[in-house]
Amino acid sequence: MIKRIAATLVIDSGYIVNSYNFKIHLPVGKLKYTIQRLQDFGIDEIIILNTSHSSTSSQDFIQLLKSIDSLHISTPITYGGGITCVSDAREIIRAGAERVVVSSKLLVNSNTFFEICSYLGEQALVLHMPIDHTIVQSKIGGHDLNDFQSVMNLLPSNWGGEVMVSFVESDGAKSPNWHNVNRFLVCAIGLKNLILAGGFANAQDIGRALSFDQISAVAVGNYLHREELSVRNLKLNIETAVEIRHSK
Amino acid sequence: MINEFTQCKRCLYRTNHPLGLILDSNGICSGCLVHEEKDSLDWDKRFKILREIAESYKLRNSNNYDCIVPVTGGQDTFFVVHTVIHELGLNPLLVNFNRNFNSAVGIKNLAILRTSFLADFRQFTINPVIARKIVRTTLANLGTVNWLSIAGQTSLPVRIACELGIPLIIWGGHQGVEQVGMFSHTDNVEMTSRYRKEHDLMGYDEHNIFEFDPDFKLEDLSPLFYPSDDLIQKNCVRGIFLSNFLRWDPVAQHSFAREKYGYLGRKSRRTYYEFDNPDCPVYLGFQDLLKVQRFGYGKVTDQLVRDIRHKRITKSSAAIVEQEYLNKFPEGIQEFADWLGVSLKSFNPLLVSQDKEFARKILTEEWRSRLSDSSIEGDIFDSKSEALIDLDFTNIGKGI
Amino acid sequence: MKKCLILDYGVGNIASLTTFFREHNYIVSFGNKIEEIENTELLILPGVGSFRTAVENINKSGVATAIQDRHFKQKPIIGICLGFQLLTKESEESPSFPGLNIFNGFTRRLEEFSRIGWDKINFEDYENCPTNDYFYFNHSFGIYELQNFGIKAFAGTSQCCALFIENSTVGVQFHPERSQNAGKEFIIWLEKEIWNLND
Repeated sequence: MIKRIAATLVIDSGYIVNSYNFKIHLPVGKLKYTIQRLQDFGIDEIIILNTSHSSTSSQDFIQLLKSIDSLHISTPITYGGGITCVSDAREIIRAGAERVVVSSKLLVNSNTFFEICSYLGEQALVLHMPIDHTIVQSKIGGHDLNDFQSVMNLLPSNWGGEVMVSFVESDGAKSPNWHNVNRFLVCAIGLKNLILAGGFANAQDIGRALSFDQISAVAVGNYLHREELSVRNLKLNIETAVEIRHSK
Repeated sequence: MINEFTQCKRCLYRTNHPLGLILDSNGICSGCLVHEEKDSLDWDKRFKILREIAESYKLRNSNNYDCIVPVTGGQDTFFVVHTVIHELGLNPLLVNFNRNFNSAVGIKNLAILRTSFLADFRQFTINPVIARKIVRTTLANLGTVNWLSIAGQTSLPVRIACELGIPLIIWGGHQGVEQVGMFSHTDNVEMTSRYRKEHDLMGYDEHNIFEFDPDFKLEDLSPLFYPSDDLIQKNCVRGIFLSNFLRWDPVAQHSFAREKYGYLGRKSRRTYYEFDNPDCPVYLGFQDLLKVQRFGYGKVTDQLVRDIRHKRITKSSAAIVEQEYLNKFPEGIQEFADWLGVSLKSFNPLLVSQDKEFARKILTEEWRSRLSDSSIEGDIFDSKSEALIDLDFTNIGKGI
Repeated sequence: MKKCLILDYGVGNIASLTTFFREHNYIVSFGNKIEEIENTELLILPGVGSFRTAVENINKSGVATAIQDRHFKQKPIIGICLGFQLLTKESEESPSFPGLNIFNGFTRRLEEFSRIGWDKINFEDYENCPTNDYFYFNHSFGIYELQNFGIKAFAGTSQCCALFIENSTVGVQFHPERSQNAGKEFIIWLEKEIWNLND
């Protein structure tokens, strides 16, 4: 499969937000207008992470979808935020997502993770692993590299889903901390189907990340909202030996 | 209902702000939080970044223009043009979309601008019949009379940039950053058509306006069309905001513009501050009333929030000032109704607020009777109300 | 306007498919009755979910024969992702739950474990290809050893079948409803070249 550039849209209080270190949220706007533009640019996937919950996670998702009802979404949607059981995941897929994002807590603390795999298929899950090397107390709680390895050991070696690794300290930054990314990649040798996120906001860094075998996709966050033709320009300017899908 | 929306602990904005407002765990809004950066960022360093951007655009264009600067007869125009020419050393093309509701002061300001800076100036005035049609349609369907002005002001500079191959557009303040802290200053956010459609145009761009009135023809709205992605990409057009690179303070900037260039203000009934929008009486009049109806706050609130954040007034004093001005009957409603070709009575349904208690406070019986009496001509200001200086609407709708 | 029926077997991304086919001028209904399957112009077997759950529900509603009849009568059917897999004999995912056996092939665990993302499809011995664009895939099981004669395509270097068409029965491993312009062009091509289902 070719490598992908995904859009991460963090939701808080019904708005897409700019997220900084998983702590600070600044309002950007409603889902509808951003999704339309991302589709115009030919984004490969849209990952929606809902950080505020008024109801069950599937109801929250359905409410969000209602807000974009008039829009014809023809792009793969991955949704996460508060999924705690199989029925949540099932309803979210029925309502229009291709995949669900689940927290590592669901894998560590219960059997729910594998129940969802069994019901929907492993390829329908994205395991979210925020990596936090610093003492920053992020809202979501991060793992250090030892944690990461012990969580990954809980997965079978032939697990068919993807793992989204978010670097908390560079969330919202204009560039990732490559020292920490490289440390992570060393400990992730032998793994595959990893999505990297956290500070990937320019063509050079994204191209570099996509060149690693372990990486199947890079998720772009705040940068999406900062410039006209954001994704289009990224795809145009990425220099990488690996094949990517270019905007039309 | 307005009170169901939580107010920031520091300023007057509530979470129903149309641009979106998020409160942190201490009840402080995103706008106040981002404002704190104004006192912590190294603005010398940030200005250097701006200077580097400016240098890279010098002499790129064969017409000899380094950039486009969108201008009006108000806001921060003088400060922006001064910065572009005298601080950054660029040769701009000044571009103005004639908003149709010009006060004499606004026209004078534009004349002072042109003669003070000796920069080339290009202005576009839309066909006044079409202007009226667009304003009626957006008023009836979106509850705003400002849509046309904003649509034109945000598309014209980009169209000219593509037409003449001038890639850089320099704007003044980014409203989303300044009001609700949409981005950090360090994000260096640029103009996007997404922001334009969602926030400037309330979710309806020129293609959507067709849906409201089947009589619209393509040529009616084509002067407002935003250039395509392909055209913008081909010409590498981008729009940057000075407010990301300088410690943005419109009050200080207006003061500078008055002293150095003779920038003129204009008193208005509904706010204490004269220098933000002296060029448009309708914006501070009827349009402001519509804003209050929809969101529970007006232009005076925006200015008070700005003053709270710049520590020029406390929140409690600001709240008192706000209430004084929100209740003031707006000037120029009759003139505006005449231009639009409608009776004052027809405005009544637009002024019905969903929050009846709130509407009762703002729309007193006195107002209702004034609005329902279509025999009122010109003299909507009785002798008891505060007299306005330099009240003239001679230029509404004449496209001057 | 044309009519289509999304088969209800308890799984599937129903909402996405509904919107997608409505955009293509279909009146979309959702159900699992034999008469509905017989009378609709296009039958859709949706994807995303467990093979076992789908087979159990198909058997519970007693519609397996109706689907097979549709195939033999050459009335349009499209199986998407899991829907495609259901058209085969059986799946390694749930060996005790046989598929519809419309296509003579097997659904097995992918050699690569999963294929998530975009890929181009390469037709075998077929000239009139719909598009050279990328399609979106998301699966961990795939179809191998297809014996039927028909139009066949593979994706990238994978050995599993990305597309198979026999008469009016179409199986696609990718998701046309999430493949942006490629998906739209693909349905238009199917309507024109395979199903003769124009407006």
